[in-house]
Amino acid sequence: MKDILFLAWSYLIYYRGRTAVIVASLTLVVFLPLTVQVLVHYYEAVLARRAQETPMVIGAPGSSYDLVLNSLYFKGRSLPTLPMETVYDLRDTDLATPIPMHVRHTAGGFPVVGTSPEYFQFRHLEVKRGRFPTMLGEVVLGANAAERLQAAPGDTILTDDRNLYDLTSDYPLSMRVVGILEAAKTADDDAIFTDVKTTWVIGGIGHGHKKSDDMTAPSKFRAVGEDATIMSSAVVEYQRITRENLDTFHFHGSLGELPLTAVIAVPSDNKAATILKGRLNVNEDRQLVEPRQVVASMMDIVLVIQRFLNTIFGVVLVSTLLLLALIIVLSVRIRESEFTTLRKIGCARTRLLAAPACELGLLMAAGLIFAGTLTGIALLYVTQFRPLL
Amino acid sequence: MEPTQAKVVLQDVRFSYREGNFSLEVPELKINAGEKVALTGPSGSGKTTLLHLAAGIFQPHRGAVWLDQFPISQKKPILRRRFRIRHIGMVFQELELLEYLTVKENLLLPYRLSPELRPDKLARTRAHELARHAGIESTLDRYPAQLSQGERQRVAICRAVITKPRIIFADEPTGNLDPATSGQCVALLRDRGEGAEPTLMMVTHDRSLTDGFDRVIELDQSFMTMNKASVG
Repeated sequence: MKDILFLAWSYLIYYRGRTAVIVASLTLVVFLPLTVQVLVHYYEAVLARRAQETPMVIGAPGSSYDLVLNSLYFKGRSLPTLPMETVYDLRDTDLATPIPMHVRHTAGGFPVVGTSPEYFQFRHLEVKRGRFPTMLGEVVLGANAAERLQAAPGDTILTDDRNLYDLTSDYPLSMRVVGILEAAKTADDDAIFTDVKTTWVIGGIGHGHKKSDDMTAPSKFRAVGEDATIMSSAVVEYQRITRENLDTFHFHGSLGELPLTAVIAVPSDNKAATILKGRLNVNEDRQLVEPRQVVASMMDIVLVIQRFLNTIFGVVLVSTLLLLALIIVLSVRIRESEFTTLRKIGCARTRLLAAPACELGLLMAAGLIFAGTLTGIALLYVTQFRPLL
Repeated sequence: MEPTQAKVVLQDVRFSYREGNFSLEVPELKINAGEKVALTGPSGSGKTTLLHLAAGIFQPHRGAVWLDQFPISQKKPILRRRFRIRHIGMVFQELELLEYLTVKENLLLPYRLSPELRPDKLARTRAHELARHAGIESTLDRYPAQLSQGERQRVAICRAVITKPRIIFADEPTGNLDPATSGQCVALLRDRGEGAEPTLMMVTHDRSLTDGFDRVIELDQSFMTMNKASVG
């Protein structure tokens, strides 16, 4: 066997160009379906795990997929909002613990998640360095976000401009980093967490500026009415929240009316969950979804696409194998005189057949090994460097 | 039929191809141990066919072939092949070196093809000795495509003798080589003075290469005539 392996190896090495082409083809036709299969299973598992850990999400009417993607994975389109009152109402029922979510802004390319301290307990998130936010304008960074932004407690980060060319848009808010979270291998690693009020300040719903008592110049008032005073642009708003100017930050209107993108509801028990579903399903201005069901429905769509891709890959695989068979037939024909010589010398028929079979085996093994390695690298890359979810 | 002490014996052999009307009849041919016999004759006279019959590559329709008292024509193909690789050296008209093996590995090829032989250190030493004797030592790590025709031929001859065969069959081993190189190649086959010299049966159409041979057998169309009496 060792000698046959040697002959087969020598042949493949001598015709290395041809060998490389065949191995590359085999690698490709195995790598593509294998990687799709492995990554789909990986994402399915990741999606399902987080979905199963999140019993219910309440949002404004709209796409349940967008609601789940935004509130669980901080991805997807901007959601229609529902009022903060939803949290207060839910809390009053004693049926569930409400966790407000406001995911609309970004800083350094990472989503800024406005929430409450309950979120960290709910997701079992621990601080690796520093502490959790306790004051307006403070943030705690997910592990990946901290690493990518090269940020540490004490640093400040700016929110991203939503539209650079819109002069009327909100100015970026400088936020103080007070902590870094332990890596959780979830979407939380790629997010920046803060109090929900801070996200309202980022969105311009809340702001801080010098008190009007200090301002004597009439030029600082654009209009003065019975209900409101509109200040001119001469009044500079604070773009950084500090202990000194904290008291000047305020929100116009009732807090209950301020927007949230979602509310995570953690029912106290199954009975509470059933009652909650019954109550909210008849409410037209809100929707309640169970992420587990939504993700299962999303995966059904993904699996249909995967089946379609598998069919294509199957056709490509068959074509490649047919081409490989053709190459082998032509190769055997070209090498007929070589085989005749070996037979005349006295080579046994089994050894004569074993050499090209061994070559084929080595080619296929190389293709499989390369494909497996590439798939492993792809999976490693996705899990270590690009968790996505 | 009783075998004699002759190394190669063909007795009442008849062979014909399935297609065409060529047939070869050999009433009797005996070649003694260490004897060097040249087979000559015009193209199509059956020189190569006779060599293949004698080497056990072809199976005769009638009669028997004995090689070193081994009734090769009566054995199954697997036993014939096993005998050939162990005890017979073959040089072909077409050089038939494996292009993907170096010269050294081509020389050691019989060792790799037989489960009974091992390409051990002794075999490698022998490959080096043979290559030095044949003047191709500097080419051992090169591939056949990098060799001249004469060098390739010498590699083929060295490969045929590396296992110290009892009998060597050579089919037009000089091919299209120039006369000087042809002479060197034939001398390499003929004059391997290593104790018990092997029996040599060589096919050639060039009468000038038969000098130094013990016997020259001239084949005529479809039957054998011998210019010397058969020995045995």
